[in-house]
Amino acid sequence: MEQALGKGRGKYGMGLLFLVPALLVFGLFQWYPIVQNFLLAFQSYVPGFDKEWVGLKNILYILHDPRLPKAILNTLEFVGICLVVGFFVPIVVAITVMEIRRGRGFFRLAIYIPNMIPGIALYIIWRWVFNPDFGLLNQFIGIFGVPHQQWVLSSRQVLPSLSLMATWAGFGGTAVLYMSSLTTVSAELYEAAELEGAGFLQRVRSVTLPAISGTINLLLVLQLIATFQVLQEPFVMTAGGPNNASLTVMLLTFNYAFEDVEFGRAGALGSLLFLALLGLSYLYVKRSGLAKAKGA
Amino acid sequence: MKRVLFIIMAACIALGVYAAPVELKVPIPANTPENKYRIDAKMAQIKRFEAANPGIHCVAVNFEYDNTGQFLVMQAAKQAPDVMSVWATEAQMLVAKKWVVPLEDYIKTWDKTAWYNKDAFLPFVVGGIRYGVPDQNYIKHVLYNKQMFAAKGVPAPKLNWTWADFTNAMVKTTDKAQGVAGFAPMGKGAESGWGFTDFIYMAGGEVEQVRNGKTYAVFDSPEAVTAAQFFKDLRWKYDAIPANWANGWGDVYNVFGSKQAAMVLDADNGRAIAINSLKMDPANIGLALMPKGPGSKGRQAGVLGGTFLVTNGLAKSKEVRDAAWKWIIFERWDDAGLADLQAQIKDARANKQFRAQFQYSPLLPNAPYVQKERAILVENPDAAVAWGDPAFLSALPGTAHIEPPVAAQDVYGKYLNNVVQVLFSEKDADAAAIMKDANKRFQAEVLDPLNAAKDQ
Repeated sequence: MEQALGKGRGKYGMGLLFLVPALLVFGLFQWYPIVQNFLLAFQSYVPGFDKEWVGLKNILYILHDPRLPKAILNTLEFVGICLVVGFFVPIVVAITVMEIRRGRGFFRLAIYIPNMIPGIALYIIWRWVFNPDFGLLNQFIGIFGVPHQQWVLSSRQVLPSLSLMATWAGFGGTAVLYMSSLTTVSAELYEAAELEGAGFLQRVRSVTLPAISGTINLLLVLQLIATFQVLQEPFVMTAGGPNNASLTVMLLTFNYAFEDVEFGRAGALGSLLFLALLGLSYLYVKRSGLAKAKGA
Repeated sequence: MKRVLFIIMAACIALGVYAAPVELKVPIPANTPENKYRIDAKMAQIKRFEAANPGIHCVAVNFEYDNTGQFLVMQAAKQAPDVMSVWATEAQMLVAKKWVVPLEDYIKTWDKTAWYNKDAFLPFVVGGIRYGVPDQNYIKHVLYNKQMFAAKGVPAPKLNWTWADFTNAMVKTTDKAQGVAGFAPMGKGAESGWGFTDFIYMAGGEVEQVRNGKTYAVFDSPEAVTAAQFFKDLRWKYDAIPANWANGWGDVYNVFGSKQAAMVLDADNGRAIAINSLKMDPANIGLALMPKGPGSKGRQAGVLGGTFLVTNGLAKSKEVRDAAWKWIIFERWDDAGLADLQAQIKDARANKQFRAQFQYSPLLPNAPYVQKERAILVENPDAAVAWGDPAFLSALPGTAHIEPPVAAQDVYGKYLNNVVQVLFSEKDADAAAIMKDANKRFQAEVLDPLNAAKDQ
């Protein structure tokens, strides 16, 4: 038995040793903060002073904060719009680009360019795009006689506007992943489909989508997690306004920490969001069979 | 034998404690090439301080208070200085977090306390106790673009101008076809609520009222509603604010500096953005008092604030707190302060910029120090600006209005900010109903719990 263990150590020892740096980095900068955040949810913390245990006080406060329902609804609306628009656009674009016979490289690069724009530059560009007087969007819809809109300055339009911006900025990266997945689909399948007389749409429905369904499922869950944590767009573009119309759960968490200087409340809301996303992801992975597919 | 050893050890420890100098962390400007002269001046001051106080050893810390979170991180790491220059608007938050200590006992016995304007301490008085010593003060006022006024035939504002004059100037200088607004208020973040309170005060209203030791929200008054209606009219009746009205503090000075707005409100340093970043000629910027609001209660009023010197609440021992007080008053209002001002001008000149800050002293206007300060600014027109003429400067203190005494940041950021955004974004907004609702919520959600806590 001991010999077997010794052999095992010899066999895996070096490999485990190589894992140590990564484990340390993850432990120190990922898992330790997550654990601390959970503890923070039950503490009052003023930087520079010792933490004090306060039980459920932070959680009760945030549950009674009138801003929370608004932030949750806004987040759900943002996620909904991003999924409706942002989920399908990369798939359609990826399939379309892969169908292009000439100049595919150019289009691949073109759709990825927004991902390469630094965040701050992106937001400055979009502030001008949304400008009610001179903005590109209003100039464009003006061609069709549509009156100028307020975009991010309107309570009703702010979330669709931010979703539009986020989709534009991020769809290229997702599309590239789909394209990569599409290259693994056997050409023989397409040839067979064509011989059977399948048109473009039939090929997509019967060959392409089933072949990349694993990637679609995975990216859907990743996108869900990412969009639920939307912070940058409302933080930079609107600071949650107008009148809290773009206040999201993450922005409220940020405000608890860095505006109200109530880190315990931020920890509580962050932890609740984490648990909600964990549950949602678990359910989705279970139901979609994603874990099974990956395991196989 | 044991007793002898004990006595020797105790004596050694006692001597050691006596001999060890008190370590005091003092702030110096951020370590950037642009701050070279200011850092040199501060290091020289530290040397003089240590020479004058042999029992104190100073540790220089690169630190400038801001709201980016640096202060929070440094507090958490116990690396923030023991003495800090902080904003008046932070007083209640800093006191509530115990990040500053009361200075009342020190201030009472300081011989230069009498030099101050009696209102100068007010922004940092919490619960009747003074927690800070005024460093620089400001009283908010109007900045206007002289060329834009002249081009539209708008006369320079008189000292006693009114909202009607303000509106006239605003409407005449607005040119939406060119993207020019007559006035650029702040419309995003807590600063938008802060800027809105100026108009509430001008209309004769208040944000809070203290009765029998308890605080009540009163910005549903007819005067405050008048201010709200005026704000709504800026957008929907006169259309005289930028189309993209959701501007934060820095944004409005960018708008002003790029000639996209003829007027903005400023406290002391917003104009530096227009001048140093947008290269606006300081000579093209005019100063005006806040215009008088309408009705019998209308008045000229602007928020009184500024920077205050405080002792960090993390300085636990009496020795460090005493040392911190010695630093606060060291060379205060004497030639060293003037040398620091000259260093700032030198910095600005070296960087081809202007030391553009509005120099409003917390001292009485006739104090010799104030005159010397102004003389230095006047002597360096290539790199410094001496703002305001004598009539403006002598009338300005009369317009000072302190900030809400309780939960100021809450009312700015969570309530009045939203009021402003509704007024600017919804054409059919009912100003009175919005103010009533915000007032009611602020009372119930913030002030009532605080009032109740006082009863316990």
